[in-house]
Amino acid sequence: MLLPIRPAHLPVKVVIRDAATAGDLSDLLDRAGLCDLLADLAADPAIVILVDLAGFSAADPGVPARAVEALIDAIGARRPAACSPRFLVAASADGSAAWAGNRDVHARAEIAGYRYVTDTGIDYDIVDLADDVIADGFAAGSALAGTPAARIWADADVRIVIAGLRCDAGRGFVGALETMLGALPATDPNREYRQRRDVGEVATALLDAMPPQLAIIDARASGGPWLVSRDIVLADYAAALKLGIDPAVSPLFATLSSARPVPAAHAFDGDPTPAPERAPEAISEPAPTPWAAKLARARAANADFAALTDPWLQMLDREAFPPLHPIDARMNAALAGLDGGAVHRALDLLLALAADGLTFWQTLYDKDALERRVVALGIDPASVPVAAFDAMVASLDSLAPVARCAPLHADALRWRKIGGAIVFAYARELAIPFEHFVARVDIGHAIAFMADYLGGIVLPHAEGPLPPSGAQPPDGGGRQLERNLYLPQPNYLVLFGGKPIDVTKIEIVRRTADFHQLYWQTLFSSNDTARADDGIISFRRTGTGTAVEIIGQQDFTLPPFWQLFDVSLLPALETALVTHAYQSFFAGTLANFEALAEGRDIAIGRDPALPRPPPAEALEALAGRVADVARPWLATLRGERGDRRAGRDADADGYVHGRGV
Amino acid sequence: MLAVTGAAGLIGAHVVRAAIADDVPVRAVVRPTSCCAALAGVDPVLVHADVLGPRAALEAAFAGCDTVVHTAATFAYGGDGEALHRVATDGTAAVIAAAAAVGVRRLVVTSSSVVFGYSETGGIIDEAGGLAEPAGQPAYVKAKIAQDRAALVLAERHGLDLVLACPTMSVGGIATTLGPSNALILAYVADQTRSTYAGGCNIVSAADVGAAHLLLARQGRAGQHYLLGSENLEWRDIHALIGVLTGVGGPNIEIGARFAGIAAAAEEIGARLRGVPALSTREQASMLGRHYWYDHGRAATLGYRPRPAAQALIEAVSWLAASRHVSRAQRATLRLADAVQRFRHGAAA
Repeated sequence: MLLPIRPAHLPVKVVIRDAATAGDLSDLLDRAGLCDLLADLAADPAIVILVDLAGFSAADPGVPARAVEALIDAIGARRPAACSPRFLVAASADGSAAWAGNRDVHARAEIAGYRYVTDTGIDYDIVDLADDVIADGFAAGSALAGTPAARIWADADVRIVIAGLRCDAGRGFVGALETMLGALPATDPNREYRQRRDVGEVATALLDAMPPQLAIIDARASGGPWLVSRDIVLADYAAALKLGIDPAVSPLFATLSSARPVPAAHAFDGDPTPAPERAPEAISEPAPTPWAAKLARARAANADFAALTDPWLQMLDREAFPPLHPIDARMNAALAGLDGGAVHRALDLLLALAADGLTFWQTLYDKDALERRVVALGIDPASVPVAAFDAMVASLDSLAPVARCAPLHADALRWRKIGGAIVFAYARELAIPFEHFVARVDIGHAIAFMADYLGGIVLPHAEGPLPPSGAQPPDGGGRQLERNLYLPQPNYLVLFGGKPIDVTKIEIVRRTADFHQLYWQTLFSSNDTARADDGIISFRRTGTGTAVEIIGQQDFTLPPFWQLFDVSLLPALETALVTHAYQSFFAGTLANFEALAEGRDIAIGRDPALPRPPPAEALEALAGRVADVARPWLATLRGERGDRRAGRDADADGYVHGRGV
Repeated sequence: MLAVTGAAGLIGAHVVRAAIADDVPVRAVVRPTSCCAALAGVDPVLVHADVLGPRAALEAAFAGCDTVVHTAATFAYGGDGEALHRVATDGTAAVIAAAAAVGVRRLVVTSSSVVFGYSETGGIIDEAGGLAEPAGQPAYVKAKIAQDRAALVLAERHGLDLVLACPTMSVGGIATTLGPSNALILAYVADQTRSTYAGGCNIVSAADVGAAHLLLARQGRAGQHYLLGSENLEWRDIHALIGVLTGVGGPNIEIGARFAGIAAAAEEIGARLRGVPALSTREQASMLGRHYWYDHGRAATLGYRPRPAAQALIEAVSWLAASRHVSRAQRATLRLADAVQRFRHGAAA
């Protein structure tokens, strides 16, 4: 039986205690409402306690094993008489399992001192949540749709998260919500849940599908606070208050709290005031400066670079968790122990610049190395009224003639500015038969086929099919909503901090025997990269092929540098830049359509299903190839004779003669 | 019954296709490790044998055949010259010996037009001038000259009717590997400077070359070479045509052999670092400025009628653009000419 996160009769409360005056765990649990949680349990419930095993030293394993066992004892003491719970202490491998030894769940649990039985004799098991998964454990439209869910976590009668608390340059702070992500079983969690997806959307999806009923943050071992709440968001919120930091320094918390905010009516049972001696500096690691946080996030923003350098920078007990690759071992020994001085800061800066440089290179020249992105729609499709779709059609039908009469700036491209937006029309005919073309290029997914599409989602609107329109009845189509991410346009804006263009839209699809059409209009942009991205794309049968027309208006937010540099003051330059940007984009888009008609895959980014060698191995292989290339040149420089056998001339009969034996 | 060695290669696969289209019983001889994607859809009888492998396998492959077409070769500019030579000479010698041992009467060996050399001034070369001197030639050319010389001697010794087919730059689709000829198309598409160079070559459709092998098997005169080409074109015209067909435009600039050599060296280094084959090599760059122009009059007397070079390039571009040899990123830069699309959909229809 799945229990509600917060029964209506309970106050939304977080119990807060300082380490020095923590008192008794049972008292905290009682105050947080544990008895209510246990009251309605089945006879033999599965109580799954998700623990933080993220520590990188035997001395600091995350949450102490004894604290977890004490929790089990406390629950055991309060269980109803007829209830015989089965306790499972759960975790999943974090990204470090790919590059360091003993990072699997059972090894970490052993190093952390878990004994499989508590002081009062209650048995418990340690489980790796990746061992048993539900292949497609999340709802369509969720950021986690199509990914596996841990069966034990999904089926648990009671889900509890017990976490430590520490500051982290890239993640702001790590408390219960970050630990909760350990319930997700992907083998490469950093890439899957932090690079391909927004970590806040991931946490929201997990919280929606499989919320914990109790969150405990136990930082007493490092002199920090002890917090318990039935609401995990409130627990992290209170933890941030105790640290004296803005909870939104955590990107996870910042995104999640917009969808799942801290309960409006909440209460503190205890003092949320940060005591000076328990300020962030006292919580296991120094609080990162904003500058350090910015550099850490820049380094982490590039998936490949983060995967390469994480093993080099992680402070760890190399005896307990030995790096698996010699390169990682040497780099970790050299870099991880830097003490925060000038060299450390210079290294952070250098790595951030290198990561930015790699992202710039990949965006412009190696798009297939980028991560494909997965997003949630971010809005309930049913919340958009049908009238909004009708208004969109009327508005865009009015825009179309304006776009078609804009000045012709390049082959097939017309554009003009209206109110700061670019109003454009691009029309070309492809010598591809209409039936063949529309069978391969689905108008309903035309946005996803455009150039530089990084990822997105399309969901149907709740209303039924469209009513007939025009002389011919539609043979398909309807209303839909779409969220899509594109690389910054033009791509070189990434050099100036340009973010992927992220737009959520309403759309109408129409299909008749000779004409397919898609209308789209912006609802909002989650990252404020677009004020408008509206348009119509159509495929029309012609005598010899298919006419493609794209009409629209776009008003994208420029990075700060380009906002300062007002390019409209130089009309000739503005015209050249806009024309080049749109010409490149539409040429790439039409090439994508042609490629789809050929049966090719046009998606940019790396196929997540393909295996990837560990970054240190890839670096070693690259170094080997560099050495192979350099060797003959070095030999030439040294004046050594190369192997000339290949160049020996044949004799009159065409035979090349060897030296003989 | 016809046996075709190298049947998984560009020329060999087209020989097999031509034979099947002409209702000639055919046995496709491929190495056990060969990818046979080029034979998809025609499904010939496949026999495994390696020209450098056990003789018995070759004899078994040829047993019962009256004609063998030997197309198996390593076609590469740059790389291991000794391996090229071994496949060309030792491999051909093994084929001849095996064919003779099982009673094959006729043998068509695929050579190359380059065995007749080149012209510095744009002169058109035919078979009458005889084989070129190998000295100073690229390893591939040396290997092919050696192959032809050895084959003529060995065929006479074994009493086989030997005909030598000498295709020019054969482009076209339905190939497993890219090959240097098709790679020249891609090299131009990949070159952001859209450079061309002096000199020229003769472009022919691989499909026409395949069909011509069948023609030579039937009608070729023993001991003769037959040049199999189509039109002689300057490189700048070839590149302009590729530019139109692929939509990349150009050429914009003509570069000399020395600069081309530097660019080819950079391409070789880049390709090695990426772990992929180079689209152009220094050895190919050393051939620039020359005219590899040939006259196929001798083959024409047998009825050889190749399609125009432009059509050969249309078909090659049509295949290449949709193939795995063009990356997704590269494909996104192409805008195929209507002629390519029409060929494609006409062919599909």
